[in-house]
Amino acid sequence: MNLVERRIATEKLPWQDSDVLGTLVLVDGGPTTGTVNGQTVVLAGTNNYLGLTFHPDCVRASADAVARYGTGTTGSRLASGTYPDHAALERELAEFYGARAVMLFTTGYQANVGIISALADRDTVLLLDAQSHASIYDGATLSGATTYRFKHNDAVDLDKRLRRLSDPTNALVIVEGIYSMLGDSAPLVDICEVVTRHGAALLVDEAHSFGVLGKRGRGLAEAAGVEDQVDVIVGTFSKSLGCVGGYALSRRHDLTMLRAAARSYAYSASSSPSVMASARAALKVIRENPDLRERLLDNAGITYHALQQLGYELGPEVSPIVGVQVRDDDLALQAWHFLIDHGVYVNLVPLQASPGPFCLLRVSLSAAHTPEQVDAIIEAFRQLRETGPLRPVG
Amino acid sequence: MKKREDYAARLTELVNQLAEAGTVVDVNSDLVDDVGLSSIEIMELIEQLEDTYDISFPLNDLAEIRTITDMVKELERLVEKQ
Repeated sequence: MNLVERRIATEKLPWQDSDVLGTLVLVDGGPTTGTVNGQTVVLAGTNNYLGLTFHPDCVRASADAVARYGTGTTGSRLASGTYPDHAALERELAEFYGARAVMLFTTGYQANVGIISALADRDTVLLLDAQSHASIYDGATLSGATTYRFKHNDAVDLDKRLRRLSDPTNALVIVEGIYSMLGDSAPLVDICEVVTRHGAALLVDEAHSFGVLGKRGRGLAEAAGVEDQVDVIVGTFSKSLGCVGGYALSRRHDLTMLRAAARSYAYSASSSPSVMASARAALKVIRENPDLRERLLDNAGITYHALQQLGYELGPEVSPIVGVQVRDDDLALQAWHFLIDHGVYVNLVPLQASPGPFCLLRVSLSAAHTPEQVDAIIEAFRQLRETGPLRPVG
Repeated sequence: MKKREDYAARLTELVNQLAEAGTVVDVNSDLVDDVGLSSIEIMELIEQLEDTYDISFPLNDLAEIRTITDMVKELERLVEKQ
């Protein structure tokens, strides 16, 4: 056996005997319906928070751009990969956030890996919330920085760990606007107070909160009123903006000086012009339609409270992500199939990717879910609890 | 030396609390393969040590920690550095 054969022979995938990983989801002409395992379903596991993937302005902008500029840039942003839509989106995002400058990345994952490894090095300290996304951990590993975890959403523990450092001004603290598994938000006012008191720097990943929180949809930092205390904001276009890509920006610093140091920026082909064009159109839709956020948060509140009343164990607060905890992986798999059979697709999260000793049936709501679709989601979970695999035992 | 023995005794006690009844735990037991601790339980163990000794374990070194002896060495290093 060579290395590749040995590696494959010893690797174990979650639920590897079933058809869960990479399930084919046939989206059906709109953001909230599709076909999974031959069953027509309401899509409630897509992170399509504002439902813009089929917005006519976004589809038209994307189609026009592909016709005019072709299917791809075939080059890095530092070489031939800067097209008019890249430059325009950077300007428009900078204006939207009141930022000094914006760096665009090809994916949100690359944004975190690139900016963290550009900011930190072996002489630096990183302090990560324990439930940080894999891209944050991977950026930390790539940077070579001495990395500590602090207890999830615990500003007191962060304070303690900063106090233990000989030079906290050499530390970067990283938190998220909304955590992707249970939907809870960082206590950002308290975190900012601690970070500022120690003279450390702060990065907030707004991947799941951009377009969702704040008066203008700029995220948790806006909602908490602390934007000017945050050094770096990272975000993604693959959720509220309905396409793909990532960004890093700052209201305080000119991050564009890091373009060569951020290797995922310098050594990746840039996003295709059609993606940039749809992101621009989606940003415009977000700016002009604050009612989308209201609809999303209404749907989130209705679903969260209904599932809570049904007796499910959920995350600690209302959010567009409703994580239903299931403490047995066989039961979780059965429950996931049951929901599909009853017309609802959610994400099935294995123990390995979960923040606690449980699997998750992860629901993500959308502004595009109709009241009838929200009812259908709740009804499927009601049946799951009353007659399905998650009915109380005994 | 006395300190090292104290650390090892304390750690063995903590690991015994997490291990399933009947598991034999010694200072060279592999915490995952022999004792059967999950990654979440190992992180809980580390958090207890951090609070007890007012130190922070860097994630960079965790992959190297397989046994109680490894953990004792890291604990000594961190407490001395303090």
